[in-house]
Amino acid sequence: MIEFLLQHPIIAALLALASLCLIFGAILGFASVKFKVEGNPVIDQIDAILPQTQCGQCGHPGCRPYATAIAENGEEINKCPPGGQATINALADLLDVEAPTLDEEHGEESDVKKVAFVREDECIGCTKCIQACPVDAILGAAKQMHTIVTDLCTGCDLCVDPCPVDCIDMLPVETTLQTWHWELPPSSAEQVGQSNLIATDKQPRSEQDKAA
Amino acid sequence: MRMTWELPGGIHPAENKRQSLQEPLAIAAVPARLVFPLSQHIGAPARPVVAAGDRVLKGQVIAEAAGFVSAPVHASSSGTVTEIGNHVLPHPSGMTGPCITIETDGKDEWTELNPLESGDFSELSNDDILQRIQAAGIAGMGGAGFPARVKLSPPPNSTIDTLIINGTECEPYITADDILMRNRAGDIVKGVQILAQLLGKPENVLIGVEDNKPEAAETLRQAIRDHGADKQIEVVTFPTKYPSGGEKQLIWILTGREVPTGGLPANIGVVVQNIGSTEAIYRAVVEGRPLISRITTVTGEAVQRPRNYEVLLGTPINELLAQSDYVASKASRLVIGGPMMGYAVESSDIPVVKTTNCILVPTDKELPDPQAANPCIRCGICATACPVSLLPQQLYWYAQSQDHEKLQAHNLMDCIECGCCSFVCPSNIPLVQNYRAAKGEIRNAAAEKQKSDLARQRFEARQQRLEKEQAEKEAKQRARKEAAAARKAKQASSSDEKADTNDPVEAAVAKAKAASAEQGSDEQRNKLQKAVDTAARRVERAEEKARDAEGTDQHDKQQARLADLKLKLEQAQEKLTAFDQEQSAESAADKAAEKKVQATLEMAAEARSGQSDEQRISATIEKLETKLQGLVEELHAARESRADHVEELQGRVVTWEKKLDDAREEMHSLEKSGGSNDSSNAETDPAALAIAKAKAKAAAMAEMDPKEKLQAQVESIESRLEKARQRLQNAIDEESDNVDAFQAGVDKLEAKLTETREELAKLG
Repeated sequence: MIEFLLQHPIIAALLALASLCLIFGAILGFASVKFKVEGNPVIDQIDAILPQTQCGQCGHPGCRPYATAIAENGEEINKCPPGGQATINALADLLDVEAPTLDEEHGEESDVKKVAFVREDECIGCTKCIQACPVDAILGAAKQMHTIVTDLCTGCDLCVDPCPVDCIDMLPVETTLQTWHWELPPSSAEQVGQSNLIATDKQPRSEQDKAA
Repeated sequence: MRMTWELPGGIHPAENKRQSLQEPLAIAAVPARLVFPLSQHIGAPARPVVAAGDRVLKGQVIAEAAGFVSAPVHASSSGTVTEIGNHVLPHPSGMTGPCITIETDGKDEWTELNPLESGDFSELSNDDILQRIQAAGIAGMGGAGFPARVKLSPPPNSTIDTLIINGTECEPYITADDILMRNRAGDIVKGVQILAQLLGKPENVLIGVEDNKPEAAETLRQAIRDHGADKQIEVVTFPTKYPSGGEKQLIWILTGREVPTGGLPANIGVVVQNIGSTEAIYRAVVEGRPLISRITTVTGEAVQRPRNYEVLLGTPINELLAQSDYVASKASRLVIGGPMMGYAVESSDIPVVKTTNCILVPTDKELPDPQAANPCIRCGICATACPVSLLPQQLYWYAQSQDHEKLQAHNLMDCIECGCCSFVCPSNIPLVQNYRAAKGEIRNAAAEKQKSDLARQRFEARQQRLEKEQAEKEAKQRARKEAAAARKAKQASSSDEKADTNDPVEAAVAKAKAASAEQGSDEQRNKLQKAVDTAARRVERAEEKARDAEGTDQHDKQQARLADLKLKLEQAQEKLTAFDQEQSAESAADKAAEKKVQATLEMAAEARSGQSDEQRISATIEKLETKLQGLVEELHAARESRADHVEELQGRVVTWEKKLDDAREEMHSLEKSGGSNDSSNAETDPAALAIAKAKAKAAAMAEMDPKEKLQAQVESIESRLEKARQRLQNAIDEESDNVDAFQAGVDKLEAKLTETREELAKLG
């Protein structure tokens, strides 16, 4: 056998290659069974980026269903108004696509975060809002006044419509001493103007400047 | 001479400390009004324990610590609490926060203190010392205001071998610690001894002083010798450089150890206390005196008498400025803290708090407004100036593009915001301002992330709960059905053991047959009649079941069963008719039964043919219409003949009309929703319904002007009011328990309607 192989180096090489193929194929096959990933990890990654308001403005009943739709059905990534452009950019980054602008059809990005607030003396205790709340942030019982746990409220707006007496307001979240932070100063380019790298490049901005 | 390490980076700004050292320490006058913010420290705000109108004495607790990382607040003079409410805070945001305001009475009357009788603190246990420190409300007086008790309770697994007292005071202009060391060196030394005892007499007890304060260092050394502690405590001087006074920087300079990222000094066996805090700790432990005053520098060219004051906490800054002959017109701004790390405030009506070490009022010439920034020229001076050895340029780019991931990868969170980078930047780029903003954003984003994770968890938990509830409901229904079927089968088999089939109808018929042989014809007829009735009922029930099972794999089985039952019914029917014919005694009851069976059969036929909802409803409408017509004719006839049952007929006509209306409405809604199956799904899911509604509403609202919006609102309220009234009426008719609730709803809607109408009238 060895002699035969020594005399026919091409066949020997082919045999070596074939056996290598078999060995690596077996390793790959074993790995694909042993290290099989359950579920679709992309869905989790997308879900982690979405703002978890569970508001349904994208047309899906919650953030995870939207993440699933993006991952599996190629749903557009610009349907999330609460997340706004930042979320779209992050999604585009993750999925390696061009970042589109927010689809206005699904609502506008609001500048301030809001939370729901029950005007408690008007509440009649119908529990309709409790059933609508996607994160169980409303506390109450039939014919008892309801209240919203502000820390848990995602500001999704879903409780406002079912209320028969319209006693739920969406109030903007105020900045507290804990959440306040310094504003980002404008970039130097914004301050001087992009083209004015050299002082003599600077154009007089108005008649006043010229006069001066 | 102890070895010191040199700080990487750092700068040498103009010191400007001389001005405020011209005059000795002064005691600031007691102001007419004192304001105490509840949050003068890091951690939970203190909880007020006094109410407006209470008289309080100097040193009395007015707010207690609310948690482990918190500190109490004490009144710094006697007087009356006038208000507990929001007041502008000494904070860069200029925001207001909860404060206790006290109107002083000028008596400056002390509350009863609890000094150490012997004055010998060495007999106190560590717990006693810590308890006294905490009760005095001591929080780091150098910068952040970290409660002293927390800092002095290092994690149990760490051994502290070095205690550092920070008398560096590296920032320009500030001389508060300098003057304290010169004036109260003895108290400071005793304070250091207390701390050393508390921490189990660490090997090294160092007081770090920059070499630009030789007088202070010498006074301290003298005091240490006087107390015979020169073996125990060492004063270390080192070259002046900003920012040597930062906690981590000072640890490096004195020990050559580096505090790990995100770690605490205790992790490397070091505890650092500010010199002011040390003095306050001595007073708290030995004299029992709470922290109600501190030394604050008032300086800058806009005051004519720059100097240091021992000032009561809560004193408004404008009072202090007035005592220093402040010329408001000369001042360009009002800075709390030093020129490097301080912040400008708008209002001078803010109180001195535990961390206020300096009030700086510079002129325009002294601290000119920053020049416009030029583009970065990549000179790299900022990187050499950074005392934490970060890469300010890179951080600047990432902060501008808000790339939080990269910022964290470049250890932005280790930035101490000392401002060296901004100070040296030849392009005047506000570097540290960028980092402050970015750090705030990162912190908020982390908080947001935590919140959204919680929301995700809650959403998923709710989803699971709903699914479980649904499954339980279905299981219950199935169990009920099975139990009913089993009962029926049992009944049938027990009533006729001979019947070898399980079919209840056949069994019943067989039973009837058997009985007929023995019983009289009347009884027999009744039996047959009963059999037919039960069979009809069964058919009805089976129909229901078949309808429920629609769409499931049970459907076909149920259909087959239904057909079977119907056949049986027909047989029973035939038998009955045959019997009746035989008896030739037709009665009205027979007819009724026949009709009933007929109707049921018709309905069953419909169900079997699998018509769509629409067809079914239109068929129902047709049927109802004919029925109604017949009834109306009958009614007319009855009226003409003045029969007794006119009223009864009238009632029946009304009910049938109502039924017809209902059917029509259903038909209408079905047409509207396109009759698709999805629509029924959407209607059953309240969330989906709400989404759809909200979407439509948002789209409509976006295009309306305010008047139209109000108009729409009025309309919607009107329609809702009508509905609410109807519900109320129904509730009253049914004498339901909810009448009150519905009544409340109607009242509220009425009020709202009037309000909205008024608003509309105002606009129109």
